[in-house]
Amino acid sequence: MTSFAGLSVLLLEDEYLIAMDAEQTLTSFGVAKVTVVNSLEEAAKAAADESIDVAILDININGKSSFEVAEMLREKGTPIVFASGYASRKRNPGAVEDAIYLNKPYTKEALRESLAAAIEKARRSKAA
Amino acid sequence: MDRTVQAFEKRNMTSDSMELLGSDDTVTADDAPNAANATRTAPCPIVGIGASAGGLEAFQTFLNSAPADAGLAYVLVQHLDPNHESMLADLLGRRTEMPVRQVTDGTAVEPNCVYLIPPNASLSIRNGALQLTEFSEPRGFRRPIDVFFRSLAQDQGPNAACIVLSGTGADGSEGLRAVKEAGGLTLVQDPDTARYDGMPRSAAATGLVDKILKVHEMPVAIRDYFDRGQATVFQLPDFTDFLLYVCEELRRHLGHDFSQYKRSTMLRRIQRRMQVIGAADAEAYLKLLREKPDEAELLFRDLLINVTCFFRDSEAFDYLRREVIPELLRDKGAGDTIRIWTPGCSSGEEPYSIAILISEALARLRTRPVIQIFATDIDEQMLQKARAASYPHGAVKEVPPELLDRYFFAQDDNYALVQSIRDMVRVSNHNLIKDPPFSRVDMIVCRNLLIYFNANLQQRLIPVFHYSLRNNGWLFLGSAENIASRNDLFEAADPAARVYRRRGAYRQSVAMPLFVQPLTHVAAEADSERRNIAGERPDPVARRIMERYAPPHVVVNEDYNVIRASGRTGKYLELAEGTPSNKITDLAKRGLRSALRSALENARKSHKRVIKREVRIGDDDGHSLSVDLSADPLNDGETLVVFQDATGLPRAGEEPEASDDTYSEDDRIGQLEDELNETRSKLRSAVEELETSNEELKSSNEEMMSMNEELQSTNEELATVNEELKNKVDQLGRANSDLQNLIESTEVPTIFLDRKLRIRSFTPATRSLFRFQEQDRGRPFSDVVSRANQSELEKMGRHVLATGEPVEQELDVENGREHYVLRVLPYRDMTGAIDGVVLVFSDVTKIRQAQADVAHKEDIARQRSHEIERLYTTAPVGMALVDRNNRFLKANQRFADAAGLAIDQVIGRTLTDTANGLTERMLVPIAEVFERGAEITSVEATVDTAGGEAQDFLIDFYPYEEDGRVVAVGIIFKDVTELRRLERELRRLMDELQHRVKNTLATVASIVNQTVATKSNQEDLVETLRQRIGALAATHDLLTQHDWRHVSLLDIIEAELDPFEQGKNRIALSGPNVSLPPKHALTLTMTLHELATNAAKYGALTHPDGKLNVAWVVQEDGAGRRLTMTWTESGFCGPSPAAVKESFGTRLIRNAIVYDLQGHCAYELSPVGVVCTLSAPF
Repeated sequence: MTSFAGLSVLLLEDEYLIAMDAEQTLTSFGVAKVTVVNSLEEAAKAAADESIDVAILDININGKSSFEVAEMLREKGTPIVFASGYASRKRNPGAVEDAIYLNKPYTKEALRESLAAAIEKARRSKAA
Repeated sequence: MDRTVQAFEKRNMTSDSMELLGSDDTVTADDAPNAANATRTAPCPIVGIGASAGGLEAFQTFLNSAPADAGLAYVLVQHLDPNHESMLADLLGRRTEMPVRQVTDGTAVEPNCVYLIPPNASLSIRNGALQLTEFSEPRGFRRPIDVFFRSLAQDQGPNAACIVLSGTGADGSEGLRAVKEAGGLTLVQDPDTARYDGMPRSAAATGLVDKILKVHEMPVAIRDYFDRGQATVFQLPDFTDFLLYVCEELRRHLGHDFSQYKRSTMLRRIQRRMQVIGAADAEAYLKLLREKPDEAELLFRDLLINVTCFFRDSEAFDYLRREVIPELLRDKGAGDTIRIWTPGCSSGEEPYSIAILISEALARLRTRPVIQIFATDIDEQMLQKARAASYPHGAVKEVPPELLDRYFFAQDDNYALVQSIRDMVRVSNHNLIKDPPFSRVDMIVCRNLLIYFNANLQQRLIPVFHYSLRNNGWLFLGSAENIASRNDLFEAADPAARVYRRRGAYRQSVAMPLFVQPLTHVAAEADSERRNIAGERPDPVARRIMERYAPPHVVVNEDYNVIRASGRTGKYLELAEGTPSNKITDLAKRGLRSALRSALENARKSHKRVIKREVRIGDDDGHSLSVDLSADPLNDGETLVVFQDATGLPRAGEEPEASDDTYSEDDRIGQLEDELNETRSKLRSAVEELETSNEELKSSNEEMMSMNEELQSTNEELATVNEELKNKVDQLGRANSDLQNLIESTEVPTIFLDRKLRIRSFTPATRSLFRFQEQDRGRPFSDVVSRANQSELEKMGRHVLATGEPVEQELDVENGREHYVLRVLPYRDMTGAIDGVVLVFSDVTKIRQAQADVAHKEDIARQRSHEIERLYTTAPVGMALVDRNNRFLKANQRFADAAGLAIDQVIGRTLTDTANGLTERMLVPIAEVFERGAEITSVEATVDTAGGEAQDFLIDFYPYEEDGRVVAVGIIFKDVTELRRLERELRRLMDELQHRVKNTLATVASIVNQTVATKSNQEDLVETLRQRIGALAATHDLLTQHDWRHVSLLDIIEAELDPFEQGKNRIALSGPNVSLPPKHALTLTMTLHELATNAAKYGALTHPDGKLNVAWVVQEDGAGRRLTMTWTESGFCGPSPAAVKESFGTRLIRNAIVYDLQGHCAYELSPVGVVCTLSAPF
């Protein structure tokens, strides 16, 4: 099992209850720091300011897409997990290539696997 | 037997029993050679009609004008190609109502019928029945017309008529001669009106034609001729006078005396003439005879008709060849002359036949005597033929082939005799009756002439022949003739062949001329005739006086030939030695001759009686005799010489007009010298004339040669024309056969009517309308039973006949169950004249039905078309039809709008004319549809309109085909802008919905997670979850009611708080009516739920005096609207705030509004109440 200890995770989620639940779950994984943001502006700011190891992004934030933020993070090489209610990636306008998708509502295990996959993928990409 | 003929025969007999002209003529046999054998079994007169080239037209003309009830039978003989079926019967049948039949062997002739010769057969008639035989001659030598006419003459005699119509060559001429001889009528088409005039001209040239007429005049002439048979001269009480008058007229006009001709022949031939020219009675005919100059000539010719041909009666000629000719030639040397006389030679066939026989015999001799054949006749026309010595085929048919080869050569259509034969024959005009006979003749051939004379004349002619012949000379008579019992003059060498030899060396004097009549006025004629007759047949007293008491006398003619002598002249005359002569100067005894000559000369010069006295004659015994002789001039240069012993004659003075003369030798010498001079000068001029003639002959000959060449080339041309004609006939035959097949096979009822609306022909299909039967042809159209309105049809027919304009009319039959279109057209013959009408019925029943169907379908189509038009105008789509050039054939308003054109400007423009965003997109698919012929549908096009808005279109292209070829493309487009917009909206909504649902589920999951973490009691856990999720569900219900757009704040609060109020009046709500967006509604619901749950557990709602007040306001500033709500609980004494642990509910109250709505939350707990202030922009 991949260890998430010491990681700093950016969580973009505009629903309070979901964000709260995800934060608790991430904490239970041993994540060192969870930066919870509920708007794109905050997310962009956090992406720019903070050192983020991995990002979990809701795609639809109050009716707007989070892809710009995702692009920022991708350029920095930050692994990203898209958490979305959309049925598949095809439905996602302007989908970011090679992203890891996590279907809402997700289980604890699904979150863990997605995070691990994203981190592994980023690691491989860097190694390449 | 025909009644006319019967009557004729009867009267004939009567006439023979009467004494005419004092003669003992009692001939009972019919003298016309063939008519005697006529069987006359035909029930009607038979008309033979012959034609060759151009004959069809002539036949047609003839039958057109031939009455169908004339009681005559017509037999048509045509030169037919033996290899062609003849269409004559067909062609001619249309021209006459009489039945027209092609002859089969043995057909019995019936009146009012037309008979046609079949191809390749020779036609003849026997006992009134038509006979067919094979031609005995090769093609090109056949003369079917001659053959038939001859048999017709033989069989029917006067009961026949013959007609020669158009044609080349000479066929028919010989036959016509036979018919004429047998007493039949002979007609010839006017050569000027004949298409080919060869046959008519040849026939006319025989001189035996009764009438030359135009063809259409002939039928009437024939009918009249046979009708007139009744009116005969024999009805005269005394036709003796009539005959005398006729003879007188003939003699007056022509100088020929026919009074001694056989009465029966004469009467019948006169009768025939009368029939021909239509003289009603004897008087009328005499009038004609006197006044019409040619009539005497024509009658003359009729009277002289006879049949002759080469070697006629071959047995007789055989005898001649075998017995007579060798005898004639025996002991004859080169210096000898053989003289032969053929009186009544007609056109010369007989003398030439004899010449040929003699020439044959001479060929076997070493020395050849000179042959002179005198051919004489009174008919100059026939003599000219004899001089021409060129004969038609019929005349030479008895000539043995080897003789034909040797003595004839072809000359045009005729056979001409070679010069050596012609040289033997002298042709001259000589009247046997009137003119002195030839003398010292070795043979007389006089066949079939005596039969035309009465017995009296026959009696007198036999001595003439005796006189002419040398002793032992031959006389050759016709088969019906004899020497009139003058066995003293002739002995029969072979009675069967009618060959006689002159008997006795002496020459009996004959009285010449035998009959001389002074020309007198007709008034005195009868007397004169009788006197003359008395002179010929003296009464017994006169005869006795003449014999016993009158002095011996002779009558001499101009040439001093003795033409009559009394008895007892032997004392003065004797036959001199050498060639016998008839001249009195040769016959007179020596001593008498010069005196006699002198007396005759003087008498002729002075026209007075001259008497020579005491002329001394020495006889053989040495005695001398003194004779007085008197020369007394009579009429016509004849002189009566009377001998008397001296002193027997009265002296001069007693007779003042007589001159007495004594003979002197000087006179005689002078006389002879004069004569000699005269003769010399005559000879000189004769030689000159001869030389001139010779020159003329030479140039004539040259002309003939050149003409011959011309004729040859003409002949070749004719042959070509003939070929062409045959071709045309073949074509015509084929065309006719085609036509026949067409008529038989055509489904179109067609009727041909003639000018009298009688049925000429009809097609078999006609029977669908008319009850026609084959025998209806020829019947009046009105007789026919039909299903149509007959009288109406006839009316139309008459109208067309009258106007010549075609008429067309519809015709309903069976009460309109059948429809016809009737066309009545004029029937035109080949000349374009209207000869009837043609009725053509077109059955249009099916067409009418089809028309009705079509009309019905047209209605439907029109309706459909109308519907399509309406569709074009009303359909909410753009429609257009364009051709290969993208030119609009059709377009509706919407399309026009899309093309940016007014609807009335579209047609004729092209798509490229109007190119805009939309129409440009159409060009490629249209081209593709034209190319592939398959439709292209649902082409999407998004174009920017003028207004800058994007519009979506869906366009269909479909091919419009005619005859399997795409001629146009139809375009249909519809504006799908709104549809597309709705689709996008729907998708968006679906996405949104999914997002919400998933978020809601995630939220619920989070609630469950949080609740499970805080509740240990299972029951409590379930109840708490039920309530929390129920609150969320209630707001969901409200949102759904408002399409997830908004929800009333009051509704949310009431839904949450109503379960706690329960009529306790402890909850107060105040605030404006506010609608909240979904996220606000949901976050607020969960917040209020946790507040209410806490109030019910620990707060105001747990105490009876507890009060809850919820108040809210909406504030508006530059940033937007903000809702601020205050939740206030009072009236109870609650736990201290510190006692209240930080639970999931409290966290949610404090954070959800802040997190989710970027709002504020102040949640204050105190022992006396709870105040929570919430605010959030919305």
